Amino acid sequence: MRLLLIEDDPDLQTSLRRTLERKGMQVGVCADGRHALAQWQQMTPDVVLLDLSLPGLDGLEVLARARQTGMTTPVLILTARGTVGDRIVGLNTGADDYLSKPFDLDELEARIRALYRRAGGVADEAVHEHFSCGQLRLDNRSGAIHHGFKVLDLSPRESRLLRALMQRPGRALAKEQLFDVVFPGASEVQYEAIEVVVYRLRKKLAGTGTALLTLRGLGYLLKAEA
Amino acid sequence: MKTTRAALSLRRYLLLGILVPTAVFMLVNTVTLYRQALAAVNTAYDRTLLASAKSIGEMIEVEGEGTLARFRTNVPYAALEAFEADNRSRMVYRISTVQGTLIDGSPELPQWSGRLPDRGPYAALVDFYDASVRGEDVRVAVLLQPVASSRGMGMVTIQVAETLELRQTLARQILIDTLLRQSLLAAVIALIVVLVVQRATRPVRALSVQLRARAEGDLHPIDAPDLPRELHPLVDATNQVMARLHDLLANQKRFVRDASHQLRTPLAVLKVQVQSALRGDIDQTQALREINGTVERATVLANQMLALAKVEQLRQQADAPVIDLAAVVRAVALDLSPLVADKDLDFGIETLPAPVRAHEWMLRELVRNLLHNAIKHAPEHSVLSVRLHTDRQHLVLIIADGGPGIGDELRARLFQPFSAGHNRSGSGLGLMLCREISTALGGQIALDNRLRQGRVVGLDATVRLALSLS
Repeated sequence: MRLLLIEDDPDLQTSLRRTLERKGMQVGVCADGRHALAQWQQMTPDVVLLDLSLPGLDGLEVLARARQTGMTTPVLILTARGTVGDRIVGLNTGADDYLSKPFDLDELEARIRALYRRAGGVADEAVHEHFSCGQLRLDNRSGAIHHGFKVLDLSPRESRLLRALMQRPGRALAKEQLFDVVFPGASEVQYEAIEVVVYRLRKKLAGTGTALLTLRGLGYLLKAEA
Repeated sequence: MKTTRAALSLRRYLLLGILVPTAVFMLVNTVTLYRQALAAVNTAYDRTLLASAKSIGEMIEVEGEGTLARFRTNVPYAALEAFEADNRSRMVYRISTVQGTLIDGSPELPQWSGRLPDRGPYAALVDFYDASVRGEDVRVAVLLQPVASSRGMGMVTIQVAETLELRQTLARQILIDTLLRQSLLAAVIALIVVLVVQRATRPVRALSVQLRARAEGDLHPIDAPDLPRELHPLVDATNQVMARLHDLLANQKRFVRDASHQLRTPLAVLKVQVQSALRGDIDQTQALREINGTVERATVLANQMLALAKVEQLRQQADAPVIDLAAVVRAVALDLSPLVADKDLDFGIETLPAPVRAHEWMLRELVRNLLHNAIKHAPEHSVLSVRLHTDRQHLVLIIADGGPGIGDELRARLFQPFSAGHNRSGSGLGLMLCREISTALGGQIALDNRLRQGRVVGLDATVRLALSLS
């Protein structure tokens, strides 16, 4: 994957380049807004990381000119400005995503890969994703949920519920969202029906090193037991 | 600042306000006076004219009898001289029969052919009118005089005309006199007004000079004891504004000082952590983990300071949309659910739809800070509840944790950032932010210990906001 990093802070430039190259990306760097566009056209990167405060030419201006000249490369904006106004301007100008400084390196990598995939590129090594929680492992391709080497024996509803929860480990999902997942196309909305599914699933999860928590009035959450 | 009318100076306002009506009044007065004087002059001269006509009438006799009877006059050449006021006015007379036959006098004076008006003051048959003789304007008195003798009686018409020079000269004289007198009066009034206004506005001008000469940032109260009493409320109000500004500025200064101190602290901590790792005092992985924590705290601090600035910025924008606070509360709760899960809290939420006119960012930030605080201070496995209720006009959001509550000493400085009691748990910026947002939305925020049997069992953070009813 070819990546163009347009960032003027030398320390951040060096660290980011080192980290991303270690992840197997080819990283081109540019520190000046005036040269950014030329380098962009010459390098034809898969993803562009764009800082907004640049010497010479503002990042938003670089982006606007790139879009005017027909460059459709996905762009992830990095900025310390971080206000709502900038965010909206950035996305309106044609940015695809937005990350405010300081950011988490894992988060940055995940966003870059997501942009790359969305643009139709083949994610090199991360295509076969899986999620895990406690001793559970969700195979994203087959949809099967393993406990150790065994596949958990779940009803389709339980399976849909658990898959949804495992894809966002440690984070709650609202019961409205879960209802749509578990009972797709249900005409009558009865959130209590979920409770029954949760009750059964909870029993089947005993001994898997996970706990299914209820946040009353809000939703459910799967977490690994300590 | 408004211009045009509002910008008119007090001095000009008073001058125009007094002088213009006075001038108009004087003009009307002058015209009226002139007219009255003219009428009086005319009446007086008319009377003289009539007297001359009457004296001529005395000199007419009837001669002969029956059809031979005829009038005879004996008017001496200088008869009218006694009535001429001075040699500028000239008089002519004409005596004729009622039918118009000239008996005596000047034929150049046209025969009177009018009707006698009803003139109260003149019992005799008398009239006055304007005419012209030899191209000169004249005033004519006409008298119908009965002439009687022992043998017969008849009527003659006596006309006496006088040129107008004298009357006109006199009228002009009166007009000039009146105008002169009124102008003098106007000038005196103008002078008095100017002096009085000048005197009355002197303290105001002195105050302006004093204020303009002030150093930048000098917000001491205005001291102007010699100012007119009417201006005291203005000065008092100004002093109050300046006192508030002074407090605000002092707070601002303290905030900047404290904030820079707070921002420098994590840098100092980082330096120590890095150096001790470099010198091999501690394990590098552990050092990096600590450094990460320090960076995390500094990030929170920087974000909170930016958020405070943003509240101020959004407060200026009036066009906030209507947003359901319930949706915001639920979204924030979902965002923070990993923290809830970490502590294994017994979490519950109840919300009713609560439309509020506000920027969504403000509501998120408010709820996020309060809920984050509650989770942070809640012991593991304790109960944490979020309730959003509404009555007809207000909503009440209560976030109740099972934490240790707040001590009296901290309560006093609760919303002041960087105060000592906060150091262990945070900067206090979060609560300050919550209060700024609540105030910006016209609401209130309170933090109260929840007591059960005299013991603190938790803290209730309560926010009250006005509902947007539409």
